[in-house]
This record gives sequence, C-alpha cells and structure tokens, in this order.
Amino acid sequence: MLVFRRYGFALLVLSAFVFPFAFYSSDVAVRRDLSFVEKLVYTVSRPVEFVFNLATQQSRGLIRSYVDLRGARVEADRLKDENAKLSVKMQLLQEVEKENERLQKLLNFVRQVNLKFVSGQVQSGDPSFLYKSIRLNRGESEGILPGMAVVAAEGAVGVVMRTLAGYSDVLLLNDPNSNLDVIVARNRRRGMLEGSSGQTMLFKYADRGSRVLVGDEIVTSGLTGPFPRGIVVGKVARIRVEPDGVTQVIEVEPAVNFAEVSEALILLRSSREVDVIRKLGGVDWMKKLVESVPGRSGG
Amino acid sequence: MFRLRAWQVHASLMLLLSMFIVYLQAYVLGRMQSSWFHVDLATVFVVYVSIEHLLLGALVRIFVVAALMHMFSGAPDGFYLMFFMLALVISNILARFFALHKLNSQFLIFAGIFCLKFVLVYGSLSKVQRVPDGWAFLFKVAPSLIMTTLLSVPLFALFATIDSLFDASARRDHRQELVEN
Repeated sequence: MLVFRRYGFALLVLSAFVFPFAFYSSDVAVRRDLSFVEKLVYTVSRPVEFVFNLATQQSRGLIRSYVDLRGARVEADRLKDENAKLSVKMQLLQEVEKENERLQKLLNFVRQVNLKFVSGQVQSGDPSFLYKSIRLNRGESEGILPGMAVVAAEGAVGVVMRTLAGYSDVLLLNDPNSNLDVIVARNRRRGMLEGSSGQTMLFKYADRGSRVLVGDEIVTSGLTGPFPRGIVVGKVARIRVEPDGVTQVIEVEPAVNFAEVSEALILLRSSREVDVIRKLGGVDWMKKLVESVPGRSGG
Repeated sequence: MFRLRAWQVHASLMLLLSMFIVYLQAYVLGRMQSSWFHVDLATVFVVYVSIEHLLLGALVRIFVVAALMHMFSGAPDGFYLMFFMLALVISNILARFFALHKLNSQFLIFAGIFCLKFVLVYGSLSKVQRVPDGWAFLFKVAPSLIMTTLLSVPLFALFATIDSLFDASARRDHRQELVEN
C-alpha cells in the first residue's frame, strides 16, 4: 500500500502513456469475447440492468400504445383498403409461385431459401455514440453465434459480434468497422459496402465499368458473409468525385433506420467461410484467425 | 452487529452510481436519434472521479466504468481503458497546477479531456483505414461535445453534493489547503 502511495501515480503515468502506443501499433481484433473481469463486472451489475430493462420496456410500451391509439382509426381504414388489394395480389402471386415451382423442377433447381431465425428485441444502443452497435435480448442459449446476420422488416441490420447467455451484441452495418459484400440490384454489379463515421455507408471497390446511379438499390450478394442474397441494404444517396478526379465516393442511405429498430430477426445461418474454418480448424483456430485481421466483420 | 463505515457506504454508492450512469447512457441516451441527447455521462463521471477522489478509489471506479462501456460498445478492445487512464493522468497533472474546486477550471479541463476522446477515436478509425473527413467528423460530434461540456458543470456539482453527504472530499480539502497556503 505504501509502495502504491509512493510510486502509484508515476506507474500510472507511465502505463497511461505507453498504452496508446501499444493500442495503435497492435494488430489485435477490433472486438473479442469479454474478459473475466468484464464478465464479473457485468454479473455484479445485473440487478441494475434488470431495473433499466424493465423501466425502458415499460415506458416504451406506454409511449407506443399512446402513439398507436392516436392514429388508430385512420390506420385501420388504410389497412382495410390495403388488405383488400393485397388479397387480390396474393391470389395472383400464388399462381405465379406454382408456375415458378413447376419451372424450377423442370430445371432441377434446389430451393435455397430455407431460413431459420430467432426474433429479438433491441435493449440498448451504443453508449460511445461514435461506434454503432445494439444489444438484442437473445443469446447463446437460443443458438446464436458471432457472425450471424441480423435483419429487420426493412432490410439488413448488422452482424452479431458478441454473445452471452442472455444477449447478443450486433455491429450495425453503418459502424466504421463494418464490411458487407453487396451488389447493385439493377445491374448485378458487385462491390463492398463499408460503414462510416456518419449515418450513411460507402459503396467501394465496385467492378470496373460499373455504372451506379443515384437511387439504385443495393442488396446483399449472398456470395460471402452470413446474409442470404437479395436482402435490401439501402439506396444510393449521393455520388461525388474525389479531388483526384478518378475516385468516386458512393454514399448509400441505409434501408433501415437503425435508431428506430425495436425488433430484429437473427438468421440462424452463420457465415459459410466461418463454418468451413470452424469445421476444419476448430474454434481456437477461428478465434486466432479473426484476431489476426483487424476490422473484419460482416461479409 | 456489522456496521458499515462512511467510506464503505460511499464506495458502494459510487460503484452503484457508475453502473447507473453507464446503463442510463446505453439504455436511454444511446437509443436517442438526435445527437443533442448524446451526453457522455460516463466521461463526466470519470473526469470528476479522477479530479476529486483518491487515486486507488478512482482507479477502481474507472475500471468498472471502462469494463461496462466496453461491454456495451462496438469500440475496439482497450479503447475505454486507454482513454480513461489518460483522462485520469491528465486531470491529476492539471490538478496540481489549478485550483480545481472552482467549477470554471473543472469545465475547462473537462472540455480538453473530452476533445482528447475524439482525437483517440479518430486515431482508432485511421487504424482500420476508415479515416473520416475531419470536418464531417467534427460536425457530427459537435452536438454531443457541446451538450456534454455544458452539462458537465451541473453534473460536477451533483457529484460533489453526493460526495459531501459522506464527507468524502478529503482530497479536495487537501488541495484547498495547498491553494490557501
């Protein structure tokens, strides 16, 4: 104790100034599993979390009920009208589906879309306000693993980055550390979608000669990463040319308003690459591989 | 019969307060759409604790806040520990030169340390080749920076009031004596 009093601050100064050098020069993973100390702190803080969870859920429920009631009559009329239109459309589509199935059988196609999912509620956001993640109230006990895709009704949301028994943390697609393999829906041109420090995402590494236009819909490619193909990610909002006159910066507006997502589906289908690595080298090898590549997530 | 001493109650309360602050930030403020609500309470708490509490106690509280923040955030590993340790050291060094019982001095030091956070975030984004445009980044973080800096003064006062309930301002008294002498 006496030693700490005498040299504690000097040691602290030393470590505080050495730490940034180690942090910025290291090649460690962007995120890893929680350490023992973090798990201990979390366990101790569980009662506080319980209170917050309960309070926020109750208040959100109350606000939602009030908002729902305000426009209920107008909404009901609109839905009735929409329902009638949709039933006619559905009958037509059933016919199209039958025809599609017949044609697929003829061509020996195997049905690829067979997804299992778990639905979860968003509990909290990212307290850093700069990185972007959300916490869902579903975890390892529901079979969720890091690397699984998360989608909402409007489109892709993100990728599970960390799980514990009762929750999973999801890295949103607009986080600066996020990557996703995507295609332009109109011309099937492939590229990489990266998060940014702002609200939009950046479409990069497009194929040579790709013509991308403002308003083009960007969807998941399904070629790499955990997302099946064709899930809407966003729309091209702006295209600007960099001062070098060669490079284009394509900004994509997310289809999902991440701040308003309250429920999401976790697709119980992990990344194909991660599956292969897991089968070949086991979990430890996969962890080492993930840790050796900083900034890799998503596709 | 087991009786708690004042410092033990104070230490427990501070631990509870640190948890409350991080959960409030994650569950309520982190879900707000507008950046004007993004008040970084955890950093205010850490700076206050660094300035006003004894080193060992401050370290324990900072570790707890850093662990909880890391648990909720998508920030890279070790980011919060690095930032909070730097905040602790810088505020302690500055505390040797300024009369930090004055709120305006606390405000200035807090503003400086809070800006340091954005420099560190900028550096961590450059690490993964995602360097944001400087002005766009500044424009994005400005509301949070302004609101947190403005609210730091009443929050410091609130934390000081909690401390005064337990007569746990030994460090402040010590510094007051130094200033008076």
